[in-house]
Parts: sequence; structure tokens; C-alpha cells
Amino acid sequence: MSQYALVIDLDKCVGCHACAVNCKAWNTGGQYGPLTDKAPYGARPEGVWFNRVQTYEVGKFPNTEVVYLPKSCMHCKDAPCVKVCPTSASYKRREDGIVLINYDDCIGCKYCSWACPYGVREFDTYDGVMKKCTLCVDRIYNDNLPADERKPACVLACPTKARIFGDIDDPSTDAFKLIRERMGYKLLPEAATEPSNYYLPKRKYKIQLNMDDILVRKHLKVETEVKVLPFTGTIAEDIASP
Amino acid sequence: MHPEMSLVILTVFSTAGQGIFIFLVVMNSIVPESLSGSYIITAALASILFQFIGMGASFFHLGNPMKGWKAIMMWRNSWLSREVISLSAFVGAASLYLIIYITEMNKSILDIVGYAGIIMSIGFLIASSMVYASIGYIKEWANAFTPATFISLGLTCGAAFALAGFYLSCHHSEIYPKINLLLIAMTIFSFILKAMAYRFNANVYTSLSVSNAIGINDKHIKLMDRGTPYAHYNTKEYFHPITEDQSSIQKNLIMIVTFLIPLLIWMLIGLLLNINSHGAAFLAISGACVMLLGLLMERRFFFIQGNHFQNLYYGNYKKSSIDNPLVR
Ligand code: SF4
Ligand code: SF4
Ligand code: SF4
Repeated sequence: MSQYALVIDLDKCVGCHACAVNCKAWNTGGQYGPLTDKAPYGARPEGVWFNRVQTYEVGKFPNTEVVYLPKSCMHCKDAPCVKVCPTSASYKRREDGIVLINYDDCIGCKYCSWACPYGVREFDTYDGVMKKCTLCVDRIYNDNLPADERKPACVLACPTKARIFGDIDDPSTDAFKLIRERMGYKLLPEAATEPSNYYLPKRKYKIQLNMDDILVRKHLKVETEVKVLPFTGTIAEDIASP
Repeated sequence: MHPEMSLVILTVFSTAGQGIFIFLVVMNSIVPESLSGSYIITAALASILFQFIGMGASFFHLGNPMKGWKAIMMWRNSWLSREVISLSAFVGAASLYLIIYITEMNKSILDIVGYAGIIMSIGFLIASSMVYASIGYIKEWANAFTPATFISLGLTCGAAFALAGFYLSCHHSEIYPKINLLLIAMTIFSFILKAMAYRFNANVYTSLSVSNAIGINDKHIKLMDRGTPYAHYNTKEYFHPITEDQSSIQKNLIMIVTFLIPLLIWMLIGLLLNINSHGAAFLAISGACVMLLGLLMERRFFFIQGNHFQNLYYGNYKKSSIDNPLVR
């Protein structure tokens, strides 16, 4: 039995939102029908997205780093959303482990979204049904697409190749290998849903300097008196003042 | 969680309506001579009407109400499915009870159908509260107080309505004070239960923080961008902005309206019973209505108090790692 899923490399993700945008684009024009978007260019754009990228600052200033966290359905192995659905509209496919919603059966009771600890299901008020990431099931098996494009739209869009799609239970796949090599982890394992999507942690980079580099630096410092001004006011003002 | 009015009305009216029915059936099998025909018919009708109000409201919650019947499919694993089935079965049993009474069939058949209705009702009360109590990611809901308060408050409010109708249409009888005493006892019991539930919820916590949510082990994690320029389902459905002060005001108000005012009224009725039964009936009806209003407030606040794990990702989870005794 396979379990298709996404492996997301937090070390490579630059938070460009390309995955989210391409996901929206494909799922608005793809075979699953449109995704609602209210006033997309207005002051209060509201719509359904299957994938959202959130930004966190980790650490205490000045030792901080930024983490971008793309989050979509984890296609959990023990999916609580499937268990609570009163109509069986939410189901997990045996052949590839993808969790899907049958829009014809969904009554829009929203109960499944309460049962998901990750908050990745979004209710489409226009269609009156619950929606979420389909793992691009309408792409990965799509004979109308060229073979190398039979991958999730978000994976294809990622400029840094931070998203890897594959069978996480098959030792021959990149996804499987990367999880082991890079110590891939699951979000919120405490929720005990056995999520299938994995995240590869950020790496710590250390720069090795040789003596020459240091000499150059010292030299530069003497030459161009770099003055560090204390930070006052807003950033905009700071940049504006000479 | 977002307090959805349709669910508030569903849970309050259906449980209260079942309380009326349970009270009616038990009284009719124990002291049938004290009940008037008009009372039995009105009480059964009121109980059914309450179910229809609840069911009608629940349709406003659904995105696809026309397909609502499909909710009966997964009774094997979904509490929501069981809730729908037991509610429909209860309405069937209550209607049958009414029909049997009107057509003056055998009294023992009437009692059997009545008790069958009570069994459906117990099934519904359990299923309906387990819909909430089984969501382990909302700590304020996933505890024994949820079914306990749902059942006890629903039955008490139902009993209040049943009693009001009883004073209004039944022959004067020596069981009046006993019923009044029972109602006072039920109200006090519900009051204690609810107070305990609020106390429990005030101290409920999880060892989780945003650090667990994103899988990065650091005490200082700040959300910089929610990944959305404006509110959306995940920032609205799981979260209702309320300050600590507002919530304690609401809690006090709920305790006063749901329990203390009705309790005063029941006591007043106790004093008034022998003097003026019409006055007592009027008081009983107003008491039941006040309690129903309180119950609507209580259920609305029940939703507001629910704090879903997914709020951790949006910086909306109220118990942050700072006031969490396990993470320092
Ligand atoms: S992430 Fe949520 S919606 Fe997706 S399978 Fe798991 S519980 Fe269900
Ligand atoms: S919203 Fe649809 S998919 Fe979710 S539990 Fe209800 S019927 Fe099932
Ligand atoms: S797999 Fe497809 S549906 Fe899921 S987030 Fe990526 S693009 Fe969106």
C-alpha cells in the first residue's frame, strides 16, 4: 500500500507563496471545479485556499531566524476528519492514501474541519461543501498532461525545489530517502493523526573563514569607517535619514 | 469557536423539548389521574414543536441542506450521524405517542411507546453532546462536563416547561409541591454542574504551544504573517474574539439568568401554590422562558469558550506557552 504525500524542505523554502498561488490557479481551473474567491482584488479578499504559507520569527532579537511554513492537508494515516464525517463524503483512498472529499455527498456540516487539528480544511460558502488539498489527484494520474507534469501544481511551481512529492512508504523514492537523511518530522505529532506530510528542518550553517578573509575585513573596516546608528523610530524614517 | 446560532438553537431546543416529553411520559405512567387530556396533547405537541425548531435551525448550518438526509449514512463511526438518527427516531416516537393518545388506544401501548421515546431521547442526548465532547482538539469540550451539562440543563428546562403547562391545565393536586420541589432540586443540581464546568474550563490547559505546532523547539516564536491578507475560514470558524473581562461578565450573567432567577421563581411558586394556582402558572411559564433564554446564552458561550488546536498556527490560541506550567 502506498502513501503519497509532500515533503517540505523548510531549509529551502523562501516564503515566496508560489506554491499557494499555483495551487489556487490549478484548483480554480482544474478538473475539480472552481475555488471560490470573493473580491480577490478588493480591500477584503476572501476565498478558499488549499495551501497557505505562514511566517514565524524564531528566537530572540538579535538572534532570530525566519521560518516559512507552507501548510496543506497532511493526508493523515489515521485521519480524524474521515472518522467523524456523517455522510462518508470524506474518505481515504486505499490505493494511494490520499484523503479526498466527495462533493456530491458533502452536506457542508463542517464537522470534519473541527476534527482536523491542522486547520487545513476550508469551507466553500459558494458551493456549500468542505474543500481541501487533493494532493492534485487530478494531475498525478492525468494522462492528458505530459509525464513530467504529472505532479502536484505546488511542487512544480516551487522555485527552490523545496517541495518533494512521492510515496513516503516506498524506500526507493526521493521523499522516503530525504525524510531519513534529513530527519524529516511531522507537525503536531501530539494530535496522533499520523500525518503523512513531512517537514525537513532548517539546517545550521557555519561559515569557515580563513586568515586572508579576516585580513580583508579588517582592512575594509579601517578604510571605510562603518558607523552603526542606534535604531530609532520606524524603519522608513531610518532609511530616509542620511 | 465561532458561536453559530443555528447550532445553539438546535442543541437548546431539542434537548429542552425532550425534557418536556420525558416529564410527560413519566407523569402519565405514574400519576395519570392528575393529568388532563389537553395537557398531554399540548405537552406532546410542544415537545415535537421544539424538535422542529431545532431541526429547522440546523438546516441553516448546512452548506447543502437538501442533501441533509445523507447524514444518516455513517452511524457506525460518526456521532453526528447518530445524533441525526436518534433525533428523527425521537420525533417519530413522540408523534406516535400523540397519535395513540388522541385515538384512545390501549394505555399500556401508550406507555410502551412513551418509554421507547425516552430511550431514543437518551440516545439523542448522549449523541448530541458527544458530537462536541469527542473533538479532542478542543480541550474545553472534550470532557465529561459536556454531556453532563447538556443533558442536565436540557432536562431541567424541559421540566420547567412541563411544570408550567401542568399548573395551567391540570386539576389541582397534592403532587404540585412535590413537582415544584423536584424542579428546584434539578435546577440546583444543574447550577452546581455548570459552575464546576466553568471552573474546570478556567483551568484546562494543554502542554502544546506554537513550538509544538510548527515543530521548532524554541521558547520565542512569533507569528509574523498568517499567510492571508484578510480573514478566512480558519481565522473565523475557530475563533471568537473575547476578553477575559467580557467572558467573566458573560459567565455571571448566564448563571443568574439560567439558574438564579428561575430558582427564585420556583421558590415563589412554592409559596403561592395554595393561594393562587393561576398566578403560579403564570410565574412558572415566565420562569421556563427565562431559563430557555439563559440556556441560549449558555450554549452560545459554550461555543465561544471552545479553543481549537489549529489556533496555535494563527497565534489565536489563548493559552500560550507562557502561562503553561509544562513549558517554561
Ligand atoms: S490534515 Fe486534517 S484534513 Fe488532512 S487528513 Fe489530516 S485531519 Fe484530515
Ligand atoms: S462538511 Fe462534508 S466532508 Fe465534512 S463532515 Fe460534513 S459532510 Fe463530511
Ligand atoms: S498538492 Fe495540489 S491541491 Fe495540494 S497544496 Fe499542492 S497544489 Fe494544492
